Amino acid sequence: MTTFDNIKKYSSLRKLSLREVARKAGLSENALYRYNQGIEPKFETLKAVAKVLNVSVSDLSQQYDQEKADNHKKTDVDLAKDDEDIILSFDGKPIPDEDKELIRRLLRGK
Amino acid sequence: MDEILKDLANYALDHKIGVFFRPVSLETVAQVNPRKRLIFINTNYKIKEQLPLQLAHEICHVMNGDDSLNRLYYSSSLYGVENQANIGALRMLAPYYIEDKPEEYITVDGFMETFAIPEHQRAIAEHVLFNVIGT
Repeated sequence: MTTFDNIKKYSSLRKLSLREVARKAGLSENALYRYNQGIEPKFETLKAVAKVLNVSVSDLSQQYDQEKADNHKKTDVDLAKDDEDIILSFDGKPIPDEDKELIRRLLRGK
Repeated sequence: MDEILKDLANYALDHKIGVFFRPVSLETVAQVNPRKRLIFINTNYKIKEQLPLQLAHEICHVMNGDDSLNRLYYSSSLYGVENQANIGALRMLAPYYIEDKPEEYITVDGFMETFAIPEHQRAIAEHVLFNVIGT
């Protein structure tokens, strides 16, 4: 994922357009589109965008992404096979058996 | 507390996130399926004060797109998905705690007590509260 892809992904998760994100980050409206043309944003710009999207700079930066991907390549392949929905528990606490089925059924949305 | 829950549920709906409120066992904590944008809240949970925190935390998981094993696996503890959801949740709750309080009545202990924030999140609570007051 390029930095631009990441910005796009988090913007769409927050239902914001790239123009809105740029404006909130104090940039010109079209600023973010430039990063789709091979230009890498400056760290300060990235920081401002990350703040608007409520993520860390490392979530947006391609370089950081790549380093992590290299470190975990093998596991990446293993895990990629798993396309089951993931259900997360608050504070990682286990769910009592009697409630498991109801919650899974509701959260699978079927 | 109910008003805050209602507010958060509305916020979730505004962001196309579904929330199920159901009474189940006392020990059952909130669950989330980030991909389907669905959250389960146990209205019978033993610590009622903590429900806004649980809901805010799960909303943050959805908003952060924590829906792939890769993302969960790659996260270091510092920027981990849990940590990010914790920070996001406390940012959402801090304004409710601060409200119209004079600054001398605002304390980390008070904040933590109000929402039954787990002790291991104390550093985050301090950081968030300080930042919210600072702005």
